[in-house]
Amino acid sequence: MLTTTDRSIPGWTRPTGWGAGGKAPRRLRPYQLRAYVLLTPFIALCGLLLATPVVMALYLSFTNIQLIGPTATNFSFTGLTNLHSLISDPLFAHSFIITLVFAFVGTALLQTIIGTAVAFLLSHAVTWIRHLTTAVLVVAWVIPEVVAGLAWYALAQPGGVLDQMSGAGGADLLLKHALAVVIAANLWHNLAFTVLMVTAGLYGIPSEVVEAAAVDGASAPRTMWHVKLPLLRATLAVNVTLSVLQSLSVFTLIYVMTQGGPANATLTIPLYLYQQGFQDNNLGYATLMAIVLLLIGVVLAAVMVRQRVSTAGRPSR
Amino acid sequence: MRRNDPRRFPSLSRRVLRLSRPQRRLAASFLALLVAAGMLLPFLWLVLVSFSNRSSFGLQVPSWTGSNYSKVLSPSSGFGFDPFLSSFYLGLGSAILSTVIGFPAAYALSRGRLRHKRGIMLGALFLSALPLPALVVPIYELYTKLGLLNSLVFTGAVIGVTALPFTVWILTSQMDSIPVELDEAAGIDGAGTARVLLRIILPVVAPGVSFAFIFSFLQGWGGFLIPLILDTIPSETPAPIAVYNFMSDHTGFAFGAIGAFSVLFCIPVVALYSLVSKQFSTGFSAAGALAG
Repeated sequence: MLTTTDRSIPGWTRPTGWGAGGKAPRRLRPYQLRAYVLLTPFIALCGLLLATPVVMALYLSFTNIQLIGPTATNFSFTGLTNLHSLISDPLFAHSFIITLVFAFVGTALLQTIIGTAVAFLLSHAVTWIRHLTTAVLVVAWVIPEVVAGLAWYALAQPGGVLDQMSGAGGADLLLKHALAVVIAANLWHNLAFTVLMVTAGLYGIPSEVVEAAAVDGASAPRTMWHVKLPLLRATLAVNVTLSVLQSLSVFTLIYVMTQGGPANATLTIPLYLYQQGFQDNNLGYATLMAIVLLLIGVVLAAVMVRQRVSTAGRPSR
Repeated sequence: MRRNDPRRFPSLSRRVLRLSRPQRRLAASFLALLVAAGMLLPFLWLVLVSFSNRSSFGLQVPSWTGSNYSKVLSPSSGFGFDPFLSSFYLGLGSAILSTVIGFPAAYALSRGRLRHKRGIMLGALFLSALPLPALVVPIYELYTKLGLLNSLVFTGAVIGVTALPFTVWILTSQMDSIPVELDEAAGIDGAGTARVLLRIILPVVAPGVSFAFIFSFLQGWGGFLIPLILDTIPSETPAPIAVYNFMSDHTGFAFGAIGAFSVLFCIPVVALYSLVSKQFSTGFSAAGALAG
């Protein structure tokens, strides 16, 4: 097959380099071929361990597959049965709402507002205090989720630190306000992310803009509210998407603290699907829930990738 | 409303607005210090309780004892070293896979002038952003099919793959800042791709590679959900799951041990992160650039 992409005239020039010399039209330049060879393991692994399971899940969520027992291998296609049970499952509806509260109220709202406020504070603080606070925030962020869960589990016990501080006098906060405590723990664990992101965003604001506001007589709080905050809009949007995505993956923190209880008060979708699939033996049903969680994630991840594309085009970043 | 309308700013906020620059600095510093203190509280509790022989929940200065640590490290009364070793293997497997695969891939993406570079990078970013609890169920099903369950190596591989996109992003952005002339010159001198990668590129991006290595290691070290589902052999239980099991066996009475465990488990994390704390900020700006 002759193509127009092969510009070399046979017999005149002798092609050189990798992958050259064949008669087939060479679409790939040598350096590109090499690049694809180097890329293959990466793409293959991501495909095998991330993309394949998603495709498998799409099929398995329509089956009655179980974790153990004969149906673990001899499962059959059950059509929309799982979907019907999911729609009529009041616990799933409950779990969906808990997930939304955890992700949007706990993370998107609280973490963004508090994180932004702390970042503004830090930008005005003395250098050593700024470094100190950032360090503490980062340590809370990098420690494993299981330790964060253990610490907050203990803090919220009757007679524990939170109890002492709130003056509730022997109240079991994990019994009464489990969701709030779990949200607080997640906020403590991930606050650094928003603070660092907003701080990076603040550094990106051109100093001329801030100086111009000062020349016009704007006070520091007004500059923050009317000048800096609007300029941070893109940063904050990305922060919300990423932190909501992060909160959809939270399993360990809640599992260690409450296992979804008490009375399912903290049963987010990740916990419910673990319960269904790996404790109650309904793997097919759990897979369908995983698909639902994935769909939420896919929408948010697509938003994130779009945000990335739109901000990457700007010359200032 | 007019600009100087008093209704616009009530008296208190008016006073705040009138703070002079040094006063504002002082106020912000004080508040930031309060934030730091509040954030420090859970750590303070963990450290104090780990040295206390009373298993109390409150925050109090203990009568110092090291017995919690010796209890935790003895296999009979606590965890022993095995769970820590399992976590170490998970971390190591994850780190090796993620850097060995990610480093050449990043080079290809940085230098290959590929038509699909953007697509590949955004695709990887997309996959890595999907919620892990949703991915781990189908991964379990895939591993059942392939017979790869209950193996620390393959469990570590899953963690490594989830860390892979981040590694590739960090390294690609670092390599993009190295002039192409550097490896072209080496290529003219007759060095092959492997040689250029290991002798020319690796030394220059060593900080990024070590950051990615440590990041992926810590994903495995702290891994809970993935080993919980993919590896159920009791002797291979990693530390986070071991402490969870311990906690459910000793409801509420072993906080000294849990504190000691947490301190022991976090020391490597904090140490490794402080090793790369310089790269941490650049790593974060890469992650931030990755975000926007």
